[in-house]
Amino acid sequence: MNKKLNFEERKESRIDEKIEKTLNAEFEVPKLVEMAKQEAFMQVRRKAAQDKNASTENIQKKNNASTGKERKRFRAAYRVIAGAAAAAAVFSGVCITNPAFAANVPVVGSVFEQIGKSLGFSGDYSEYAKPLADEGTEAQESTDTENAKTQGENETQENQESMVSENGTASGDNAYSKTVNGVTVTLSEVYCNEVAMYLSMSIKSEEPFPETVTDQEGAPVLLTDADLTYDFNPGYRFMNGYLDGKLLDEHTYAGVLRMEMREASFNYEGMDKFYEEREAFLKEKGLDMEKLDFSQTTLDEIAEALGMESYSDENFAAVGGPDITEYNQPIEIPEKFNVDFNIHKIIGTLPEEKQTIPEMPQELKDEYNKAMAENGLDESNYENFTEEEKEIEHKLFTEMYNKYAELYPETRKSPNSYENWVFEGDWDFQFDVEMDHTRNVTKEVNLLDENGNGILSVTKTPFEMNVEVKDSNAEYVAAVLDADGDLMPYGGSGNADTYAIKDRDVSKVYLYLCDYYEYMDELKGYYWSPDYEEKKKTKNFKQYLDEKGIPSAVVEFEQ
Amino acid sequence: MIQLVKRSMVGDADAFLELMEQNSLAMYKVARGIVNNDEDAADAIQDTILICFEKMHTLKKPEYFKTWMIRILINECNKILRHYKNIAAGEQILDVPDQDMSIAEFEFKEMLNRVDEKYRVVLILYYVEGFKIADIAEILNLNANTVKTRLTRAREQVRREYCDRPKLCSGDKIINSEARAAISK
Repeated sequence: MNKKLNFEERKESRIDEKIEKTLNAEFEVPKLVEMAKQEAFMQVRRKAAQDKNASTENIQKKNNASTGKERKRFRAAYRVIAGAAAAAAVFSGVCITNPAFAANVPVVGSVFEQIGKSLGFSGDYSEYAKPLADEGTEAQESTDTENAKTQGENETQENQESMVSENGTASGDNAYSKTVNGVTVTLSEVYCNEVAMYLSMSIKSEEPFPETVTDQEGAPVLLTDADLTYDFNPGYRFMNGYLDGKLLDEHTYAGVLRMEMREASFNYEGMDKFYEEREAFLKEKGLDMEKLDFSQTTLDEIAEALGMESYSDENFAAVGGPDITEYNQPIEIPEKFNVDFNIHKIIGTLPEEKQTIPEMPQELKDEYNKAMAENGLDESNYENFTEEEKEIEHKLFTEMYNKYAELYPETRKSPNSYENWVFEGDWDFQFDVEMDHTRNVTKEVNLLDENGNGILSVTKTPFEMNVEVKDSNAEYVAAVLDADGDLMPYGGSGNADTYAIKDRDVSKVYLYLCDYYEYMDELKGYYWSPDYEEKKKTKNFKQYLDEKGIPSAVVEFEQ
Repeated sequence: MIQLVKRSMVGDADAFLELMEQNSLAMYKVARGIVNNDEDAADAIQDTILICFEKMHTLKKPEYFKTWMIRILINECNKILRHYKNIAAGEQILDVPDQDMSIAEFEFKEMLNRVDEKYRVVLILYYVEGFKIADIAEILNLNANTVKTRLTRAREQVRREYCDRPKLCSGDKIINSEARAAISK
């Protein structure tokens, strides 16, 4: 009986665990949702910009007055946009966090520390990513190149560390190394292909780096407040300054900044112009978006009024409005271009226990409570307040916060000294970039079934691996294993066929064409079992798959 | 987060956007607990962000932010559902699986799909948002016992629909043709 009860309990808790695990899983919100969110963000930013010089109270008044006015329903538009141009999402992309970045970029520090072994750098990085050095550092560069070429893989790490160190303590500034307020930023290498531009750099501080919150892999999260402009696209908006890197020692941080080239080619100026034209067109048709009440009007109704099949930016041309294709053409990225990169601040967030955000002072709380009482209001009864009473409460509450903000003006700023540490700059750089098309290596695999479905090819870029799968009947999963027989990690692109190389050994890649059900039900369970590390000693995932007789192919990449 | 809320309350747009960014996955999950497709979830989230920005200063205490935001979101989702009730059923948007959907996202949706609509949001609020039964009761304007019952039934359904199927539960992951379509390209 007891046994049964225990079993039931265990089963119950397993279900709980399963529910919790499944529902709590982290994933990126779907593209549609991301787009809707970014659209909302853009409106918030626009509104905030309009109100920039107004006082908080005025902002609130305006916000009150405009409640519901600017909301746009894009339900119909999503479908079109989502299918058509990912660039549209990029346009409105105000990236605050960087979810897709970390997985796809080489493990932070690999450029410096693990260059020899990872990412196909193969100890010969100087032919790979272009070391940034000017005349003043030419000698340095050639020495490093020399070293990199002559030293074995195992020694490369040491070599890299010494390079950082030497650069960091350079006697004077040069085009790629600037010291401001005791902090030296040295651009080390740049690599650019059709997918992304990777800029590696070291930050060396005379004072030890303050404690910083870390990401899941224990790497400190550093943000650059910077401007970055491409000479071929002056309208480009640099939005994502998160560095992916790690501390080499308490004074030295090494990291990589990754810029999507798709974003670099986005026609920001053109799209700004398009939106202007669109607004003007709508106004002309008596549809002032600013004045429409979207709680009453849907986009479908607007589409109908305009004679559009469904509301979308693409459909404006058909009804006499601006033709989006005249505005959104991607800017061609030249083979060679110049980048202007100006870091204003380097920002870290303090770990929570080190944050010193001031509490609301008791006297302000008392004042608020007193004023509430004078108005005959009891805040614990808030839910039953009339609109008028709520207004009074909001006013009092805002007054309290305004006083708090006056007392601690920094709390309104980001970054601030309570939550962040900041290295103030400017560190200003200009560098040339040459696109590299040569490092994308594609190998035919042709691990196919009788219908021609299966793994067609695998393409390796310096940081990412893409597997081309044809699976018209949705029968397969391609399992991609590194040279050590371990599963490759998915890249952060949201594409199941993109893998992050990180520090994996991909000199040899094993590809397995697994039956979907078998893989999901059984095979992958072996790799993800908690005791895999133990099992691996006698049978790694590759051996396991071989034992199961899963069809496979091997691809070798020259290092 | 409290600090972000506080800053947002006094009109700091950057703090507000960061706050929304941090909460976007949570919002999406709650929205999917109510509406049946990503497009409606997207609409509800967009509206919620704008309403939150407009109404941020009306928030009584920073600590109440999450509950407040979820309430707005649920309200927006319900508005969308009401809208569907007023139009022909055929017009309702069906969810089209995203080709780029991750396994985690798929499994999340799959689990929700196996639970009755009226139980889903309770499941999300309890397991994802970590709200207590009393909080959920307050948010959904339900009696606490009703919440408890719904939670029990939801759990029951997960077990029956999801875990008692040997094929579905024999491995770590679940599967069906939709998943295959979503994952394999």
